[in-house]
Amino acid sequence: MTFLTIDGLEKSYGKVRALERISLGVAEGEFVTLLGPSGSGKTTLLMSVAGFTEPTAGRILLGDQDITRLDPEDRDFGFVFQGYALFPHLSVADNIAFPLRVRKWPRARIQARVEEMLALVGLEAMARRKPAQLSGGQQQRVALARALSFGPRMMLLDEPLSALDRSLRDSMQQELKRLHRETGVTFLYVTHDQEEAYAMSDRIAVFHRGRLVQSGPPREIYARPANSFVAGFIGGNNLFTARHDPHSGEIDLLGRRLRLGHLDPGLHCADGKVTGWIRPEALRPGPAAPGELELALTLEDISFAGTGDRLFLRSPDGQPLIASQTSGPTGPAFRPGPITCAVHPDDIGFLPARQT
Amino acid sequence: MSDTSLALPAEAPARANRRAGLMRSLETWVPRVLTWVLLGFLFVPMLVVIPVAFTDRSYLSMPVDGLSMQHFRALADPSKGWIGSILTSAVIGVVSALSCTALAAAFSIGAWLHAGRWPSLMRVILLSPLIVPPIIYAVGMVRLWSALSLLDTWFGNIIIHVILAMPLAVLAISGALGNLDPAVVRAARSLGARPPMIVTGVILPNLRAGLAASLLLSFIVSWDEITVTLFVTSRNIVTLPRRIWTSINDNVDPAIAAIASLMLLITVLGLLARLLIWDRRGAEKTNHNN
Repeated sequence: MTFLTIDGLEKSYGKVRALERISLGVAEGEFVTLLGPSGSGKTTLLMSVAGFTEPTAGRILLGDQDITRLDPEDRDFGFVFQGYALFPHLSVADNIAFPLRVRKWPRARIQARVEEMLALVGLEAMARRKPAQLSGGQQQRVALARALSFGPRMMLLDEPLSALDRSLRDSMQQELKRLHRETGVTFLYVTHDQEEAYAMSDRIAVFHRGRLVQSGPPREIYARPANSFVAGFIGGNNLFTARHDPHSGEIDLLGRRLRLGHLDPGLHCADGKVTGWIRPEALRPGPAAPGELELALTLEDISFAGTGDRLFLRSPDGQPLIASQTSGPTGPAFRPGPITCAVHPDDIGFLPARQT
Repeated sequence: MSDTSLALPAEAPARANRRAGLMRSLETWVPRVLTWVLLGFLFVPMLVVIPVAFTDRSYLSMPVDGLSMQHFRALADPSKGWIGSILTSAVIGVVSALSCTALAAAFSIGAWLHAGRWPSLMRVILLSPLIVPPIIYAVGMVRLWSALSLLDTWFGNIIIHVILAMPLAVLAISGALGNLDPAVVRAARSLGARPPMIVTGVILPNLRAGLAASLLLSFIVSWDEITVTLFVTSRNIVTLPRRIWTSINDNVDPAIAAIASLMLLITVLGLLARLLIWDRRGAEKTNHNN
């Protein structure tokens, strides 16, 4: 059942359209991530849901209540800010108690809830500290505890991990997942980091230039990108252009002319150009095994990427490709120059013809 | 020993050493002397009032035949008007400091919440008393105040002091606001707080230092103000600076040295108290952290 309904939401700043007719449903208890580069409209959408930005058109429903024009203080949404926005003059415990005092809870109940929240985020020992005396990760936990303390109808999170360093980000992702699981609250999460989105979300909504370009479970976004933006920016895939001849059913693909009947998902474009993608980890140096496709490429450069190597390749028709390889401690045994690579046809995807 | 081969052979290096030593001691002593001279220029004129306050003569002078408390007694004599002036200045100072700080806080918080062209313009207007010379301002004020029948009234004086202190108050409070993350307001709203709660529970507690600075500075502006006061007061309102001014003009009364000494004493005591309290608090904080 849809819990939060965003219906045809639009926001313009003068002539600039920040959001173009966004419609999105979020189920109760779901973890939905709004993913996109900066300026894609994801934060504008989150701010509209929070009530800080007034949409130009469209509606936001919570259950069957229209909250489009409701003041933020009446929405009962927990909001976690990029810079945490803790109250500097209040201790950790008083920060967490703030929404409870606003709601005029009895003193004993406030104290019990504050202790409960401190235990939930593991900060019992820090209750009397001021925010300035905490590390970034601890401040983030206080911000989460404060937003969760009053039992919000929903949690809105605006790039909460972007100010943390990498190792802390990974552990905070686990922490966020745990909080989501334990509280059962619906999370609407904004990020520009696709790994973060993949790691935590039940569903990802990808934004590009104010439009919602695709929404679905992380694996589906990864496996079946709806357009070249999702395939390239979000999926980290190699994008290439191929020529498809609808009469012969043949395709010119990275210097080879192939008959790939099963790869014909209604790709018929007027000019015969189609966009395809190959995942970097599916492109493998070496001769093709049976059933695989062999490509004669040129290796231009190799760079070490920690978990493996990235091979920068070029196809005979001049298109750049990247292959990622796990490698041993001695590194790869490749030299720049001609190289044979193999890819399984199932790992080549084609984007649906552009809908106009 | 192998050390001997490293020993300096001739006298020339020794002379060079002596010269270097001289340079070094000059480098130490010249700045020191300059610092003390500078401090002397700052403090000696202030200290001079103390012996003058105890003079046995009836005009401004150093004590000649002995010390006398007569000028302090004159201060305490209500018929001489000093006590009345001190009270007048104190009342005007406190009322104008409080109103000025309240107005400056209201404006600064509003401008902080709704940044834009109008708040910036307003800010320039509020800061203008810093730029316009008080004497020019005074001339304008006389005309306006006489038209409004505010000359020589409590209300008229307080308004002028509020206006004159406004730039410093706005600067002090805006400075404190500059250190506050504007996102705390959104955070408070998302947590359910309404505007009165946000102002009293979130914004003002974070401005304590700025508000204190604003109160102090605007009180000092008012306590000190003479230029405009000379133009807009006559018999009803005689502030302390005005009485000092009149007494110098009329009879060079050493009572002004006595009042200056008292003010100096109060300032020094205030600074000492502040230092002691500050130190103790600082020490407590460190202990607490340990």
